[in-house]
Amino acid sequence: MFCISVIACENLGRRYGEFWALRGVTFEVGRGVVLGVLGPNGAGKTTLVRILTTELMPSEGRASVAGFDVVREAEKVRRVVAAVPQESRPIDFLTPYEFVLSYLLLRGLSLREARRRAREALEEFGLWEVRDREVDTLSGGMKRRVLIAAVFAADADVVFLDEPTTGLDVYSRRLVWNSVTEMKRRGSTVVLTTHYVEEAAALSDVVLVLSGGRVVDMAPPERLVEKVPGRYVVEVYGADGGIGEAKSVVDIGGRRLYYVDSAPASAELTRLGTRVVVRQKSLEDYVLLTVGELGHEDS
Amino acid sequence: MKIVRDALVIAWVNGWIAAVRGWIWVVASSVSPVSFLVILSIYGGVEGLKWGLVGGFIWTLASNGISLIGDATYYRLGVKYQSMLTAAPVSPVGYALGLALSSFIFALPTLAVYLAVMLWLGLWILTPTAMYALAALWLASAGVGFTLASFIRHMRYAWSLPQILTAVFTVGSPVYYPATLLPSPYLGVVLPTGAAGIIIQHALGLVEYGGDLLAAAAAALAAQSMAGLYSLVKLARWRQP
Repeated sequence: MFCISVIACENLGRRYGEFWALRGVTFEVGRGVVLGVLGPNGAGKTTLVRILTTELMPSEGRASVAGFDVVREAEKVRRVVAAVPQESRPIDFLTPYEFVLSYLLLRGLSLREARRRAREALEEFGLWEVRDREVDTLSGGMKRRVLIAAVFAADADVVFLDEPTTGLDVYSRRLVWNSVTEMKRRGSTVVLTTHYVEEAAALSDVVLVLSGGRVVDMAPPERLVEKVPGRYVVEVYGADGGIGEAKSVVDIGGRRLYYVDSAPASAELTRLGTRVVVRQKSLEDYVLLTVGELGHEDS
Repeated sequence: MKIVRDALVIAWVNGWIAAVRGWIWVVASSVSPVSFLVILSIYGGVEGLKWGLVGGFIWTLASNGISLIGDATYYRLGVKYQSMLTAAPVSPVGYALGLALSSFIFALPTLAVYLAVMLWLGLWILTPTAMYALAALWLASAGVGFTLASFIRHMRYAWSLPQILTAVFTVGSPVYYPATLLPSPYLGVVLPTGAAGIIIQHALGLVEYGGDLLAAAAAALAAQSMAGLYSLVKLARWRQP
């Protein structure tokens, strides 16, 4: 198991005192795969990333990255991984160029190669025009792109992006999406944790769903969507007359989601309430149905 | 070799660029020792000036290690830069030494002024013994600074801890005064600043110490710098247990 997979976890767990942030996590991911990690706050996504990037020791189980054990062969793991940690920011008094260049130099690249890659990455992320401005003066989206540009330029075998698009505008988010696609094309394995389900659905080959530190499911996004009952979702907010043939119902405050096989007729929608949306089921519905109840800050 | 390279890159980023863009850091690193220097000169004349210069030189160098607590904690907790480097082939020793080297860069203008005035007053500090003491002090304080920084859990402690440590390291040790004022002069070698002070004060002719005390200071300083390096390599938390 530990030889063919790029990432392999076996009964992995991490405890803080009596609280298990992660427990019994077992999965494998191959080369060139984008693994989306979904789950509510406190699900264990960042704990998993921190263990796999060798920043945090596991309390039990074992994990390997690129065939190297994250505990015993941490130095070897560090040579093949790159990460954008959750809530990280580039150093504010540096310019984007200095930040990316210094990161590449620290990774051991020659000055010439580091300069070349820094330029390429900054161009790729639309940052070349602002390369000489101090990071402090850039927008939040640009700052985040500086971090991802640095990791992108490193061309690592395994890349960890821990909530890289949180707070980004639609343009910046798509630039990040492009980079994930490009990293995959280059053969990198990408671990992407996110709260944006549509992002995980669009980018991931496989989605790992965590909740309360445990694996809920792991499968390609379309397979997870297949597990959602019905074909359509009727979202009703406000007065609700109910839908008789719903296969499943989810209540979220004053909003009710009906999972049905066929879209209801317009007369029925009028009867239901004032605000009604009918749409096809998606990965978001899978998350709502499986971990939705636990998704309210369970740590 | 990678350690040296890492240290130089960090020093370039966190020291040179920071100092060039923000002269306030350069001034900040000199304010406290210069204040002591002025007071000692007022009350002690030329002799006070000499003690102020020697003490200030030692303080400035020791504060290189102590003040890295702020940077190291900010990079670990504030912007998660350390997490980014943990997931990369970066040496924690090189990183820590780079941070200490950055502080040294901020302090260079101050040290240069001190050196010029010391030479003008006939205090030749560039002796092998004094250089050994200064280098060992720098290593020891860098080790202590980085190790302590790695245990800090809240950013706010990173601002207060260096102030406490600076007071203990520079006023609690014979840096601005002779070790003979202590109940036992050997108490002076307990902290690296005191051990360095004893060696340098003697080397510059400010005070005559016995051979035993000097040997004890040199041995203590060697042990402290080794301990500093050891704790940096083994205890400092590059990785959270």
